[in-house]
Amino acid sequence: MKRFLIKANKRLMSFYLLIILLVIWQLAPSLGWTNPMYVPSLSTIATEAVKMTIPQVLLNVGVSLRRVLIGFLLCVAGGLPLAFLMGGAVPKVALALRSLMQFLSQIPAYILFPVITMIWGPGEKSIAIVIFWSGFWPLLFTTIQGIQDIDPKLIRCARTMNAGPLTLFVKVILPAVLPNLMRGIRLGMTNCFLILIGAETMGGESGIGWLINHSQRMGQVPLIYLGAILAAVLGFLLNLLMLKLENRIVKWKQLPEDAAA
Amino acid sequence: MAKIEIKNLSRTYGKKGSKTEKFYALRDFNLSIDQGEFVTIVGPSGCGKSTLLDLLIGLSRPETGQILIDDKPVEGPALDRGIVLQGYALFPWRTVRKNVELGLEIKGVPRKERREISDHYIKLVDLAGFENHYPYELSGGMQQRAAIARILAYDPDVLLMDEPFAAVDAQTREVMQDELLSIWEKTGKTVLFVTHNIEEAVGLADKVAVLSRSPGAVKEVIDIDLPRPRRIGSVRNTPDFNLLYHRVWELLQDNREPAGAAARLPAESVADKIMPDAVL
Repeated sequence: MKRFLIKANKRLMSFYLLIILLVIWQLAPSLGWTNPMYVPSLSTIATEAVKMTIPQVLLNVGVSLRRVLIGFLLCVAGGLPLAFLMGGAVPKVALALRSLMQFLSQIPAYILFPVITMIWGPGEKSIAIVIFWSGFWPLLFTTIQGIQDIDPKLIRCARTMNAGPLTLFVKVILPAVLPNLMRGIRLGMTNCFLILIGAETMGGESGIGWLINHSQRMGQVPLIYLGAILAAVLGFLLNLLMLKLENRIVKWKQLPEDAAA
Repeated sequence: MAKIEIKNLSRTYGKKGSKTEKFYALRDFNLSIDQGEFVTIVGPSGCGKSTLLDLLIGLSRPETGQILIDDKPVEGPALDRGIVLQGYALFPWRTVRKNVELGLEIKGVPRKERREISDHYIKLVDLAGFENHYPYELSGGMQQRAAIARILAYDPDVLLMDEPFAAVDAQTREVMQDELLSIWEKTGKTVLFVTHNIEEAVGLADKVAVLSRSPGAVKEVIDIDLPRPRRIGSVRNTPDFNLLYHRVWELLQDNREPAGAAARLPAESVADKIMPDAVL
């Protein structure tokens, strides 16, 4: 029993502060620490969510999730092949593209909002493009780094065993780059999600970002907080999912001492 | 008929089109190795040992001269030769078994057969029980054994070894050397073993080829007629061994450049030359 408690304590360790924050949040307005107008208690927010009806809340979450995934898949579909191309498969292409890519990557997605809405109009297409832009660069550059970091000894070793280009790619380059590739994918996903809320103010009709924006205009303060909480929870879960996936795929790496414990 | 015939081999390095003199890594290199022979190569750092191995394995091409294996010129990497590289080069995402099976996968050996073969060689190098471990879970000596099993598994006729035991501690090294000898006795492979450790070179070999400093060429080939089967620990203190040791040492001494250059040699190789048995 004691051992169980110690174990549970260890697992919950990183959640304690969060729980304390939530408790304070709940109590603060009724204790008069904050103005309930601007910082409503958690229960008020929950009541508003129920009033809005739960399916309606979930619909907004679902729409946002779908947008992130579409933008993210575009990142992967475009970023990975380009990363392999630039990472060394075709040195000339890499050289030709490098400066251009580095220049473009410095343009924040927010700045693109007006341009993109001007060209494609407000709507799903523009949202997808902005999300894509946001996630594409970290994914691309992390993967390229990963390809360039492959231990040349391993490639040499496989070549001495008479491995052809295809074998080399499938059995050496791909598995060797996988840890960084997964990290790039996770970073890309995180960036996609971060830009989502902003992107959804570009003429979305639903979604978490739209909910926040809309509530702000309507003066429904608790719903703004609801949107923020939903965004935080969704982002947290997505990151967790990606981390789990990463650890599952890359189980051959030596874990840091306490992470393994 | 020699198994490996290296004839007038030369290989230079230098920037293309530059007018400065070309740097010869190997120049008129000649060496003949018989079937089943264990030959070691010793030489100072920068004597073209790595260049020679690259040419033998087929990763680079000679400029002049040729390498014949079974009378056929080397035309690229092939599974009739295997090389144990410096520093193991195990694939970190593969377990010991999967590492050992890589050459067989490339060869297209079916899974069941692969497993039988890898089982055999994993046992041979004394790694039974570690089949499903990843390289990071193994000690340096174990990693080296896995690397050796990986090469043996696809059954090359010729084993090339590039200072395979340089990174393991003295005790482990001796165990590994004896294991290598017994594997060689069991399999009858032709071995070309590069080292800068004289004791290792003499203790393992049928013949020691002493190289000269750049340009690399064979200075002298010394026959090692110590009795077989041999264990390094038991021959190390015999008078015959010491004579041979001294002979190789002398040849390497002549190679030494003036003090400044010698000081740049790795510490280990200097210590090995001056105080062979100091560690033990």
